[in-house]
Amino acid sequence: MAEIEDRLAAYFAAEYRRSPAPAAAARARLVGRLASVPPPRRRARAFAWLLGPRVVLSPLAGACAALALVAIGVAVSPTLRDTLRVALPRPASTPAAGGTRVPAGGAGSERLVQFVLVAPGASRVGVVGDFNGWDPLGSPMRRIGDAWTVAVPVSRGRHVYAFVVDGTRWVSDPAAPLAPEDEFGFRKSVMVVAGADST
Amino acid sequence: MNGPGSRGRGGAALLVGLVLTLAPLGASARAAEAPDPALAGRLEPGVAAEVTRAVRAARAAGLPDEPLISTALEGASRGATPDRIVRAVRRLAGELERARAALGGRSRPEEIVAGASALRAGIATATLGQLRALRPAESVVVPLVVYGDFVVRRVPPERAASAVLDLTRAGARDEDLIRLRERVAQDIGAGATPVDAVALRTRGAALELAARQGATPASGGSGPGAARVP
Repeated sequence: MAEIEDRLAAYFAAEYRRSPAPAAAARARLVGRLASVPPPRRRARAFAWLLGPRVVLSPLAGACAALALVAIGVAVSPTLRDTLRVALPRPASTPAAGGTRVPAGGAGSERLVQFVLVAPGASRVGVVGDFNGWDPLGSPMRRIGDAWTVAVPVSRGRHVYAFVVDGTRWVSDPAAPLAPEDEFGFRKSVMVVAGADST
Repeated sequence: MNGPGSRGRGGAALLVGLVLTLAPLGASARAAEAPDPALAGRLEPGVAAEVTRAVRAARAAGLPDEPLISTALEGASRGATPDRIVRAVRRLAGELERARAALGGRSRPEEIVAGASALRAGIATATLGQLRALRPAESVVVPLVVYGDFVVRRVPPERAASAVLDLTRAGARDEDLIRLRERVAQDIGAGATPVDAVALRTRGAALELAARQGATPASGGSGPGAARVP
Protein backbone atom coordinates (compact mmCIF):
# COMPACT_ATOMS: atom_id res chain seq x y z
CA MET A 1 0.00 0.00 0.00
CA ALA A 2 2.76 2.34 0.98
CA GLU A 3 4.62 1.49 -2.20
CA ILE A 4 1.60 2.49 -4.33
CA GLU A 5 1.30 5.82 -2.48
CA ASP A 6 5.00 6.54 -3.02
CA ARG A 7 4.68 5.85 -6.72
CA LEU A 8 1.63 8.07 -7.04
CA ALA A 9 3.41 10.92 -5.23
CA ALA A 10 6.41 10.60 -7.52
CA TYR A 11 4.10 10.65 -10.58
CA PHE A 12 2.30 13.83 -9.55
CA ALA A 13 5.57 15.53 -8.66
CA ALA A 14 6.97 14.74 -12.06
CA GLU A 15 3.82 16.02 -13.79
CA TYR A 16 4.01 19.33 -11.89
CA ARG A 17 7.64 19.77 -12.82
CA ARG A 18 6.74 19.31 -16.48
CA SER A 19 4.41 22.41 -16.56
CA PRO A 20 5.34 24.53 -19.57
CA ALA A 21 7.72 27.46 -19.05
CA PRO A 22 6.22 30.96 -19.77
CA ALA A 23 6.77 32.28 -23.20
CA ALA A 24 9.73 34.69 -23.49
CA ALA A 25 7.51 37.50 -24.87
CA ALA A 26 5.06 37.23 -22.01
CA ARG A 27 7.89 37.22 -19.48
CA ALA A 28 9.37 40.40 -21.04
CA ARG A 29 5.95 42.16 -20.90
CA LEU A 30 5.56 41.25 -17.26
CA VAL A 31 9.04 42.52 -16.31
CA GLY A 32 8.40 45.75 -18.24
CA ARG A 33 5.14 46.38 -16.38
CA LEU A 34 6.70 45.71 -13.03
CA ALA A 35 9.50 48.15 -13.83
CA SER A 36 6.97 50.89 -14.61
CA VAL A 37 5.17 50.52 -11.25
CA PRO A 38 6.64 53.00 -8.70
CA PRO A 39 7.84 51.49 -5.45
CA PRO A 40 5.46 51.99 -2.49
CA ARG A 41 6.19 55.17 -0.49
CA ARG A 42 6.10 55.56 3.26
CA ARG A 43 3.68 58.46 3.05
CA ALA A 44 1.27 56.50 0.91
CA ARG A 45 1.32 53.73 3.48
CA ALA A 46 0.88 56.24 6.28
CA PHE A 47 -2.21 57.75 4.69
CA ALA A 48 -3.63 54.48 3.44
CA TRP A 49 -6.10 54.49 6.31
CA LEU A 50 -7.40 57.83 5.11
CA LEU A 51 -7.64 56.97 1.46
CA GLY A 52 -8.84 53.42 1.80
CA PRO A 53 -12.42 52.23 2.10
CA ARG A 54 -14.14 52.74 5.45
CA VAL A 55 -17.46 52.74 7.17
CA VAL A 56 -19.07 56.17 6.82
CA LEU A 57 -21.19 57.33 9.74
CA SER A 58 -24.32 59.36 9.16
CA PRO A 59 -24.17 63.11 10.01
CA LEU A 60 -26.37 62.39 13.03
CA ALA A 61 -23.93 59.82 14.32
CA GLY A 62 -21.09 62.29 13.78
CA ALA A 63 -22.93 64.94 15.77
CA CYS A 64 -23.61 62.45 18.55
CA ALA A 65 -19.93 61.52 18.67
CA ALA A 66 -18.94 65.20 18.84
CA LEU A 67 -21.42 65.79 21.66
CA ALA A 68 -20.11 62.77 23.49
CA LEU A 69 -16.55 64.11 23.20
CA VAL A 70 -17.66 67.48 24.54
CA ALA A 71 -19.50 65.75 27.37
CA ILE A 72 -16.41 63.74 28.22
CA GLY A 73 -14.34 66.92 28.18
CA VAL A 74 -16.81 68.67 30.45
CA ALA A 75 -16.98 65.71 32.79
CA VAL A 76 -13.23 65.35 32.98
CA SER A 77 -12.48 69.04 33.11
CA PRO A 78 -11.34 70.08 36.54
CA THR A 79 -12.97 73.42 35.89
CA LEU A 80 -16.42 71.96 35.97
CA ARG A 81 -15.67 69.44 38.68
CA ASP A 82 -15.18 70.49 42.26
CA THR A 83 -12.74 73.36 42.51
CA LEU A 84 -10.74 72.84 39.44
CA ARG A 85 -7.86 71.00 40.58
CA VAL A 86 -4.80 69.81 39.20
CA ALA A 87 -4.64 67.70 36.17
CA LEU A 88 -1.13 67.05 35.03
CA PRO A 89 2.10 68.25 36.55
CA ARG A 90 4.00 70.44 34.15
CA PRO A 91 7.34 72.16 34.45
CA ALA A 92 7.46 75.87 35.11
CA SER A 93 7.50 78.34 32.22
CA THR A 94 6.07 75.85 29.78
CA PRO A 95 4.19 77.58 26.99
CA ALA A 96 0.47 77.32 27.49
CA ALA A 97 -2.02 76.81 24.71
CA GLY A 98 -2.06 79.84 22.50
CA GLY A 99 1.63 80.41 22.89
CA THR A 100 1.43 82.50 26.04
CA ARG A 101 3.83 82.13 28.89
CA VAL A 102 2.68 82.13 32.43
CA PRO A 103 4.97 83.49 35.11
CA ALA A 104 6.56 80.57 36.84
CA GLY A 105 5.59 80.14 40.43
CA GLY A 106 8.68 78.12 41.17
CA ALA A 107 10.06 75.01 39.60
CA GLY A 108 7.64 72.15 39.77
CA SER A 109 4.97 74.28 41.41
CA GLU A 110 2.75 74.60 38.35
CA ARG A 111 -0.13 72.39 37.36
CA LEU A 112 -1.92 72.25 34.05
CA VAL A 113 -5.50 73.40 34.58
CA GLN A 114 -8.08 72.93 31.88
CA PHE A 115 -10.75 75.58 31.58
CA VAL A 116 -14.02 74.85 29.83
CA LEU A 117 -16.90 77.16 29.05
CA VAL A 118 -20.01 76.25 27.08
CA ALA A 119 -20.79 79.33 25.01
CA PRO A 120 -22.63 78.34 21.81
CA GLY A 121 -23.08 81.85 20.41
CA ALA A 122 -19.59 83.14 21.07
CA SER A 123 -17.15 83.95 18.31
CA ARG A 124 -14.11 84.02 20.60
CA VAL A 125 -13.48 83.27 24.24
CA GLY A 126 -10.43 83.67 26.45
CA VAL A 127 -9.62 83.06 30.07
CA VAL A 128 -8.18 85.87 32.19
CA GLY A 129 -6.89 85.64 35.71
CA ASP A 130 -4.16 86.49 38.12
CA PHE A 131 -2.08 83.77 36.46
CA ASN A 132 -1.86 85.59 33.13
CA GLY A 133 -1.94 89.23 34.20
CA TRP A 134 -5.64 89.52 33.27
CA ASP A 135 -4.63 89.74 29.65
CA PRO A 136 -7.72 89.06 27.49
CA LEU A 137 -5.50 87.85 24.67
CA GLY A 138 -3.19 85.88 26.93
CA SER A 139 -4.98 82.52 26.93
CA PRO A 140 -7.36 82.21 23.99
CA MET A 141 -9.69 79.23 24.13
CA ARG A 142 -10.26 76.71 21.36
CA ARG A 143 -13.73 75.88 20.16
CA ILE A 144 -14.96 72.27 20.31
CA GLY A 145 -18.60 72.24 19.31
CA ASP A 146 -20.43 74.58 21.66
CA ALA A 147 -17.68 74.39 24.24
CA TRP A 148 -14.49 76.41 24.50
CA THR A 149 -11.41 75.10 26.21
CA VAL A 150 -7.80 75.82 27.00
CA ALA A 151 -5.22 74.30 29.31
CA VAL A 152 -3.07 76.75 31.23
CA PRO A 153 -0.21 76.07 33.63
CA VAL A 154 -1.05 77.65 36.96
CA SER A 155 1.03 77.80 40.11
CA ARG A 156 -0.33 76.22 43.26
CA GLY A 157 -2.51 78.23 45.60
CA ARG A 158 -5.67 80.27 45.34
CA HIS A 159 -6.41 81.99 42.05
CA VAL A 160 -9.18 84.16 40.68
CA TYR A 161 -10.25 84.20 37.05
CA ALA A 162 -13.01 84.90 34.56
CA PHE A 163 -13.88 84.22 30.95
CA VAL A 164 -13.97 87.01 28.38
CA VAL A 165 -16.53 86.34 25.65
CA ASP A 166 -16.20 88.15 22.34
CA GLY A 167 -13.58 90.46 23.79
CA THR A 168 -15.91 92.48 25.98
CA ARG A 169 -18.24 90.36 28.10
CA TRP A 170 -16.77 89.04 31.36
CA VAL A 171 -18.37 85.83 32.57
CA SER A 172 -17.87 83.87 35.78
CA ASP A 173 -17.32 80.12 35.65
CA PRO A 174 -20.76 78.69 36.39
CA ALA A 175 -19.28 75.59 38.01
CA ALA A 176 -16.70 77.20 40.28
CA PRO A 177 -16.87 79.00 43.61
CA LEU A 178 -17.36 82.74 43.40
CA ALA A 179 -15.49 85.52 45.15
CA PRO A 180 -17.38 88.48 46.58
CA GLU A 181 -17.94 91.40 44.23
CA ASP A 182 -14.79 93.39 43.69
CA GLU A 183 -14.17 97.09 43.33
CA PHE A 184 -14.85 96.80 39.60
CA GLY A 185 -18.34 95.36 40.12
CA PHE A 186 -17.58 91.78 39.10
CA ARG A 187 -17.69 88.43 40.86
CA LYS A 188 -14.66 86.46 39.87
CA SER A 189 -14.43 82.70 39.98
CA VAL A 190 -12.05 81.08 42.43
CA MET A 191 -9.92 77.98 42.08
CA VAL A 192 -7.53 76.37 44.48
CA VAL A 193 -4.70 74.54 42.83
CA ALA A 194 -3.31 71.95 45.17
CA GLY A 195 0.42 71.63 45.48
CA ALA A 196 2.94 69.58 47.31
CA ASP A 197 2.72 71.54 50.53
CA SER A 198 -0.88 72.69 50.40
CA THR A 199 -3.66 70.75 51.95
CA MET B 1 54.69 122.12 48.29
CA ASN B 2 50.98 122.97 48.61
CA GLY B 3 50.59 125.74 46.11
CA PRO B 4 47.38 127.08 44.60
CA GLY B 5 47.61 124.48 41.79
CA SER B 6 47.65 121.54 44.15
CA ARG B 7 44.70 123.02 46.10
CA GLY B 8 42.72 123.22 42.84
CA ARG B 9 43.52 119.63 42.00
CA GLY B 10 42.44 118.59 45.49
CA GLY B 11 39.11 120.39 45.10
CA ALA B 12 38.44 118.72 41.77
CA ALA B 13 39.24 115.33 43.25
CA LEU B 14 36.86 116.03 46.13
CA LEU B 15 34.12 117.00 43.69
CA VAL B 16 34.61 113.86 41.61
CA GLY B 17 34.53 111.74 44.74
CA LEU B 18 31.33 113.42 45.87
CA VAL B 19 29.69 112.82 42.51
CA LEU B 20 30.77 109.18 42.49
CA THR B 21 29.42 108.73 46.00
CA LEU B 22 26.08 110.40 45.42
CA ALA B 23 25.40 109.06 41.93
CA PRO B 24 24.42 105.54 43.06
CA LEU B 25 22.17 107.07 45.70
CA GLY B 26 20.40 109.07 43.03
CA ALA B 27 20.10 106.01 40.83
CA SER B 28 18.62 103.96 43.63
CA ALA B 29 16.20 106.79 44.42
CA ARG B 30 15.13 106.82 40.79
CA ALA B 31 14.75 103.02 40.87
CA ALA B 32 12.61 103.33 43.98
CA GLU B 33 10.34 105.76 42.15
CA ALA B 34 10.19 103.65 38.99
CA PRO B 35 6.94 101.76 38.60
CA ASP B 36 6.88 98.03 39.13
CA PRO B 37 7.91 96.30 35.87
CA ALA B 38 4.67 94.31 35.84
CA LEU B 39 2.67 97.53 35.75
CA ALA B 40 4.68 99.48 33.20
CA GLY B 41 2.86 99.69 29.90
CA ARG B 42 -0.44 98.53 31.35
CA LEU B 43 -1.27 101.55 33.52
CA GLU B 44 -0.98 105.29 33.17
CA PRO B 45 2.29 106.51 34.71
CA GLY B 46 0.54 108.27 37.60
CA VAL B 47 -1.56 105.24 38.46
CA ALA B 48 1.42 102.93 38.09
CA ALA B 49 3.37 105.10 40.54
CA GLU B 50 0.53 105.06 43.09
CA VAL B 51 0.11 101.32 42.81
CA THR B 52 3.86 100.79 43.02
CA ARG B 53 3.96 102.75 46.28
CA ALA B 54 1.21 100.53 47.72
CA VAL B 55 2.98 97.41 46.48
CA ARG B 56 6.28 98.44 48.07
CA ALA B 57 4.59 99.35 51.32
CA ALA B 58 2.91 95.94 51.42
CA ARG B 59 6.18 94.23 50.66
CA ALA B 60 7.94 96.17 53.41
CA ALA B 61 5.20 95.15 55.84
CA GLY B 62 5.63 91.50 54.89
CA LEU B 63 2.24 91.29 53.18
CA PRO B 64 1.69 89.52 49.86
CA ASP B 65 2.08 92.11 47.13
CA GLU B 66 1.11 90.07 44.07
CA PRO B 67 -2.65 90.47 44.69
CA LEU B 68 -2.20 94.24 44.59
CA ILE B 69 -0.47 94.09 41.21
CA SER B 70 -3.10 91.65 39.99
CA THR B 71 -5.92 93.95 41.10
CA ALA B 72 -4.37 96.87 39.25
CA LEU B 73 -3.93 94.80 36.09
CA GLU B 74 -7.48 93.51 36.34
CA GLY B 75 -8.72 97.09 36.62
CA ALA B 76 -6.70 98.04 33.56
CA SER B 77 -8.14 95.12 31.58
CA ARG B 78 -11.65 96.09 32.59
CA GLY B 79 -11.05 99.71 31.59
CA ALA B 80 -11.56 101.03 35.12
CA THR B 81 -10.79 104.66 35.86
CA PRO B 82 -7.44 105.48 37.49
CA ASP B 83 -9.16 106.54 40.73
CA ARG B 84 -11.00 103.27 40.92
CA ILE B 85 -7.88 101.23 40.34
CA VAL B 86 -5.96 103.05 43.06
CA ARG B 87 -8.92 102.79 45.44
CA ALA B 88 -9.23 99.05 44.79
CA VAL B 89 -5.53 98.49 45.43
CA ARG B 90 -5.55 100.50 48.67
CA ARG B 91 -8.67 98.78 49.92
CA LEU B 92 -7.18 95.36 49.24
CA ALA B 93 -3.97 96.33 51.03
CA GLY B 94 -6.01 97.22 54.11
CA GLU B 95 -7.93 93.93 53.92
CA LEU B 96 -4.70 91.96 53.62
CA GLU B 97 -3.39 93.65 56.73
CA ARG B 98 -6.55 92.89 58.70
CA ALA B 99 -6.60 89.30 57.48
CA ARG B 100 -3.03 88.72 58.54
CA ALA B 101 -3.70 90.23 61.94
CA ALA B 102 -6.67 87.88 62.39
CA LEU B 103 -5.03 84.75 60.99
CA GLY B 104 -1.63 85.27 62.52
CA GLY B 105 1.69 86.40 61.17
CA ARG B 106 2.79 82.89 60.25
CA SER B 107 -0.05 82.40 57.80
CA ARG B 108 0.80 81.64 54.19
CA PRO B 109 0.29 84.35 51.57
CA GLU B 110 -2.62 82.50 49.93
CA GLU B 111 -4.32 82.21 53.32
CA ILE B 112 -3.99 85.94 53.87
CA VAL B 113 -5.43 86.61 50.41
CA ALA B 114 -8.33 84.20 51.04
CA GLY B 115 -8.87 85.87 54.43
CA ALA B 116 -9.00 89.30 52.80
CA SER B 117 -11.62 88.03 50.35
CA ALA B 118 -13.64 86.53 53.21
CA LEU B 119 -13.46 89.83 55.09
CA ARG B 120 -14.91 91.55 52.06
CA ALA B 121 -17.70 88.96 52.02
CA GLY B 122 -18.52 89.82 55.60
CA ILE B 123 -16.70 87.34 57.82
CA ALA B 124 -15.83 88.59 61.28
CA THR B 125 -12.17 88.85 62.18
CA ALA B 126 -12.96 86.72 65.24
CA THR B 127 -14.23 83.97 62.94
CA LEU B 128 -10.96 84.08 61.02
CA GLY B 129 -9.16 83.60 64.31
CA GLN B 130 -11.43 80.68 65.24
CA LEU B 131 -10.79 79.01 61.92
CA ARG B 132 -7.04 79.41 62.39
CA ALA B 133 -7.31 77.87 65.83
CA LEU B 134 -9.20 74.91 64.39
CA ARG B 135 -6.60 74.44 61.68
CA PRO B 136 -3.34 75.61 63.20
CA ALA B 137 -1.11 73.83 60.69
CA GLU B 138 -3.50 72.99 57.89
CA SER B 139 -4.43 75.51 55.19
CA VAL B 140 -7.59 77.54 55.76
CA VAL B 141 -7.87 78.56 52.11
CA VAL B 142 -10.62 76.13 51.11
CA PRO B 143 -12.86 76.83 54.13
CA LEU B 144 -12.57 80.54 53.36
CA VAL B 145 -13.30 80.03 49.67
CA VAL B 146 -16.39 77.99 50.58
CA TYR B 147 -17.49 80.66 53.03
CA GLY B 148 -17.15 83.38 50.40
CA ASP B 149 -19.08 81.34 47.85
CA PHE B 150 -21.95 80.78 50.31
CA VAL B 151 -22.24 84.49 50.99
CA VAL B 152 -22.20 85.31 47.28
CA ARG B 153 -25.07 82.82 46.91
CA ARG B 154 -27.00 84.82 49.50
CA VAL B 155 -26.41 82.66 52.51
CA PRO B 156 -26.33 85.07 55.49
CA PRO B 157 -22.69 85.57 56.57
CA GLU B 158 -23.27 84.25 60.10
CA ARG B 159 -24.91 81.06 58.74
CA ALA B 160 -22.13 80.56 56.26
CA ALA B 161 -19.50 81.04 58.97
CA SER B 162 -21.32 78.67 61.29
CA ALA B 163 -21.53 75.94 58.64
CA VAL B 164 -17.82 76.15 57.79
CA LEU B 165 -16.70 76.37 61.42
CA ASP B 166 -18.93 73.51 62.61
CA LEU B 167 -17.78 71.15 59.91
CA THR B 168 -14.15 72.13 60.35
CA ARG B 169 -14.50 71.51 64.06
CA ALA B 170 -15.98 68.10 63.23
CA GLY B 171 -12.86 67.28 61.26
CA ALA B 172 -14.05 68.06 57.74
CA ARG B 173 -11.28 67.95 55.18
CA ASP B 174 -11.00 70.20 52.14
CA GLU B 175 -12.71 67.60 49.96
CA ASP B 176 -15.70 67.51 52.34
CA LEU B 177 -16.07 71.26 52.18
CA ILE B 178 -15.72 71.30 48.41
CA ARG B 179 -18.44 68.67 48.14
CA LEU B 180 -20.63 70.67 50.50
CA ARG B 181 -20.23 73.75 48.33
CA GLU B 182 -21.16 71.85 45.20
CA ARG B 183 -24.28 70.40 46.77
CA VAL B 184 -25.40 73.72 48.20
CA ALA B 185 -24.89 75.41 44.83
CA GLN B 186 -26.89 72.64 43.13
CA ASP B 187 -29.72 72.93 45.63
CA ILE B 188 -29.90 76.68 45.27
CA GLY B 189 -29.84 76.29 41.51
CA ALA B 190 -32.70 73.83 41.80
CA GLY B 191 -34.79 76.34 43.73
CA ALA B 192 -33.97 75.78 47.42
CA THR B 193 -33.51 78.83 49.60
CA PRO B 194 -29.86 79.45 50.44
CA VAL B 195 -30.50 79.09 54.17
CA ASP B 196 -32.29 75.76 53.73
CA ALA B 197 -29.68 74.46 51.33
CA VAL B 198 -26.83 75.20 53.71
CA ALA B 199 -28.70 73.82 56.72
CA LEU B 200 -29.66 70.60 54.96
CA ARG B 201 -26.33 69.95 53.35
CA THR B 202 -24.32 70.84 56.45
CA ARG B 203 -26.39 68.38 58.41
CA GLY B 204 -25.79 65.72 55.76
CA ALA B 205 -22.08 66.41 55.72
CA ALA B 206 -21.95 66.14 59.51
CA LEU B 207 -23.67 62.77 59.33
CA GLU B 208 -21.19 61.58 56.74
CA LEU B 209 -18.30 62.73 58.90
CA ALA B 210 -19.77 61.05 61.94
CA ALA B 211 -20.25 57.81 60.05
CA ARG B 212 -16.68 58.01 58.85
CA GLN B 213 -15.40 58.62 62.34
CA GLY B 214 -17.74 56.09 63.94
CA ALA B 215 -19.55 58.72 66.01
CA THR B 216 -23.12 59.96 66.11
CA PRO B 217 -23.92 63.63 65.51
CA ALA B 218 -26.06 65.52 67.96
CA SER B 219 -29.72 65.44 67.01
CA GLY B 220 -32.35 68.16 66.96
CA GLY B 221 -32.67 71.51 65.22
CA SER B 222 -32.52 72.28 61.54
CA GLY B 223 -29.94 75.04 61.33
CA PRO B 224 -26.24 74.71 60.73
CA GLY B 225 -25.75 74.68 64.49
CA ALA B 226 -27.43 71.30 64.55
CA ALA B 227 -24.54 69.91 62.55
CA ARG B 228 -22.26 69.91 65.55
CA VAL B 229 -20.59 66.65 66.19
CA PRO B 230 -19.59 65.77 69.73
